[in-house]
Amino acid sequence: MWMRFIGQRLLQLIPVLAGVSMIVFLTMHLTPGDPIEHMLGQAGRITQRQIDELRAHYALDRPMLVQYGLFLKRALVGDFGPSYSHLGRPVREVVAERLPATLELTLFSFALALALSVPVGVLASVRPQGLFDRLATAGALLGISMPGFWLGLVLMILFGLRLHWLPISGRLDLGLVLPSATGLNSLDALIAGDGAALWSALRHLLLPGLTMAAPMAAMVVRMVRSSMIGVLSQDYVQFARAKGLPERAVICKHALGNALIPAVNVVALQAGLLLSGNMVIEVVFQYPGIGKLAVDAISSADYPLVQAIVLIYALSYVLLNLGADVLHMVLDPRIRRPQEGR
Amino acid sequence: MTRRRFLAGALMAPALTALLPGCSQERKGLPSDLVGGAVRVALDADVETLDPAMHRSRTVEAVVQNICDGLLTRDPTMRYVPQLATSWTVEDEARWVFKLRQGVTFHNGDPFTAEDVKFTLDRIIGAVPGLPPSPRKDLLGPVAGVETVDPYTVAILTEVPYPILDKKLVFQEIVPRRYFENVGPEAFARSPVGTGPFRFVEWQPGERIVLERFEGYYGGSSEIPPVGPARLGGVIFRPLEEGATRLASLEAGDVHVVLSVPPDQVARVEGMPNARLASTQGTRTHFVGLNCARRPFSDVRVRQALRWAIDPMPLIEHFLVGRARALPGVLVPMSFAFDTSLPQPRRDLTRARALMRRAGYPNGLNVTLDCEAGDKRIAEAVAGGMRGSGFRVEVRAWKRDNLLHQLRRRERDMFLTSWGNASLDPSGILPVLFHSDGYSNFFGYRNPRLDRLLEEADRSMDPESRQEKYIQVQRILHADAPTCLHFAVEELYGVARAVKDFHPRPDGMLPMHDVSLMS
Repeated sequence: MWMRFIGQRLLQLIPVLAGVSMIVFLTMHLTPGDPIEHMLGQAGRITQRQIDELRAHYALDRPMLVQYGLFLKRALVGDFGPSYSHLGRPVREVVAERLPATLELTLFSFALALALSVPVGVLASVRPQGLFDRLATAGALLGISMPGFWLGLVLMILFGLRLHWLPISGRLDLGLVLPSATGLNSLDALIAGDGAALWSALRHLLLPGLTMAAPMAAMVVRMVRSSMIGVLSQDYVQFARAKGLPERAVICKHALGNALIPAVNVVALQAGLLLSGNMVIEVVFQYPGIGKLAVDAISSADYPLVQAIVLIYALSYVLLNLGADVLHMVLDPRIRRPQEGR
Repeated sequence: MTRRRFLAGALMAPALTALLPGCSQERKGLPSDLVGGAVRVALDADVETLDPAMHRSRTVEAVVQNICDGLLTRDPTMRYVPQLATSWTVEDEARWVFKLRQGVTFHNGDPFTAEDVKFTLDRIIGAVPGLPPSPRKDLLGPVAGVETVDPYTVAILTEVPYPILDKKLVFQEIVPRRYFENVGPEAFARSPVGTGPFRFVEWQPGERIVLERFEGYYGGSSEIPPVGPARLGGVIFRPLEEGATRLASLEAGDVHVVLSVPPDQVARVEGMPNARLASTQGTRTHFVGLNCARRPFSDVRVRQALRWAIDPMPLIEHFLVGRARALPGVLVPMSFAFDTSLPQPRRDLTRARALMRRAGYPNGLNVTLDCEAGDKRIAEAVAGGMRGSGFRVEVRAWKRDNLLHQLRRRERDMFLTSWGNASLDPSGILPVLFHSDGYSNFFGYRNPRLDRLLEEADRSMDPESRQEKYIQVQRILHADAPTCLHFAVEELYGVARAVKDFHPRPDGMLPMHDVSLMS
């Protein structure tokens, strides 16, 4: 049953990715700008022959449909061809270099958002309309409404430029050298047992991580709070209380598990948004991940690079959704049962 | 897995991550000799490759020149001096013979020979099969081939006489043939090897490039003392594209040198206790271009009127805090053959209005000034500065490549743009912009006499004759006025006080060989 469900969903990926790639391809090609112009910059004595050679090498002289066909043929085997703005280097390699940075930032923000939001949501639900609840609700509203770039700039100015507590750009102090095993600096520092590097990596993650985590945390706080309030009024919770169980055990053991089920979908969707919403944050913090790479690639008309990154975004978004559905099925037997009967 | 176990796991993961700082009690960082003795440089653009043959980026070149030396180089005053070449002669106008320095090794231990020079240049002109075309081909002009005469002599052949070949060679850094062929172009672009003063250590894309002193360095050009290995333990380059972030990093002591200080931030750098401002005249000229192929600027009187319509000085004082120089044409004063006889630009409204009347615009003219988004403030100042002259100017800003695309198709009438000429030879800018077939003749400007002069100057091996022809060209351009309001901005650097012997250069290169760092 599981395999069939997952298989079906994975099959649905094919038209989704094909559609996304075609939209990206067309949009990029219809936007004014020429990758060869970018490649040559304000080059001096260029001849038409030199331009033609470059065009031919990158197959830009072929009809658009042929170019798209070539792209699809390569993409099927995971090869996105050469990057126009990183001359002489394949897209796959350029993306692979930056992906760990984005992955690290996304995981960090995800963890930060959950670590902040679940306890706050639970505490807020214990005394609805109490002071803490009101503060938490107001904070959540603020978190959802603040645009990321604005929050990022405010945090940067406050903690970076005014207080000098946290670094405002990059991933690691320039003075530190860290052997790269996974590309995730904090993990690499752990592996190397290098405390200074770990501290530096986490400090660098904090401001962009917090900026990215804010809207997700806000969403989850509201979700957990309302879900907990609903669960806490259920009969089985009342029964647990009547048994004389301490309130902590009632909340953590009996209520929380059930209250979190509806939050799973929200969390998975938010994780997808985290990954694809990192462009603005990475640009604001000059963070060297694929979000910033995508923005640079768009402005230099680097079609293959943009296509590769957008496909990664689309793929991860769809997979996270699939993961959420599977999780939901694991956690909630009510969803599983009717399918088992088929 | 039970639901409870799963939930417990899901909750544990973030909790564990949040606990990570607690594990970092033991501080054993890696500030090795390299890192301690390295100058940290904040670049104003990202570095996309470290292959000297596969870029058109000044930033890449500034980094690569610390790793790979060329046959020639320039000192901070832009004088051409030998580097890996020791001497050269020109035979029959189209054959240049270079004697090479002996006993030089690449960072990987390979000896430097004529084979490496041949391979480097052949690759750029497209004579090595199987490699992608180099976007630097045009920088070698009519170079047709390279011959190795003996292991330390190389001959470069050109299709036609090419008087500035030696000057153009400062833009080509020599790569080791054997290493390149072993690792291939992709790996070379990631971890280059050269004969330069610094050895490549690490590149974390978008984050930093680490170089360390190459102890086996032959010493560099004998004409740029001190000669010997670099003084610094290393150099760390970090791309920080935002000007405000670069300055904040300098202020915080995270970096020692920052490039491209925005002119409006000059006072801030001058006020920093730990840093100073270093500046020099740049090689890039900003100007207003006019479309000579269609009305109203097809009439030379309208173009000339525009020249008298604005005084560049208030613009330079207010918007560039005096950090620019008004010029009579696109050449900067340190260029070869700069014509000192041309008058400095100034405002003369009587002349401007008279010319407009004669051209048939007694009531003035509405025009649109197109510019890149980044230049909008200056463009608006230009528009404001023309008030009262008869030109009523509206500013329209574009994304950079979008504007360039329209300029190439000559779709815009009046535009603010800029052009760099690091070679400081007129051949690097005048034919490109003003020859009828010039690749970047955005002006639709055609003048057969000027074309002939440019072609003759291009081929002449006699510097005096070249100079004379380029001066004539500048005078024709001044009269025909396809461009006006020229100004060249300064290269502005913020430099930590601990950094010694850092000399800002007009060409924007960052040779770190002579720089030292006080602890």
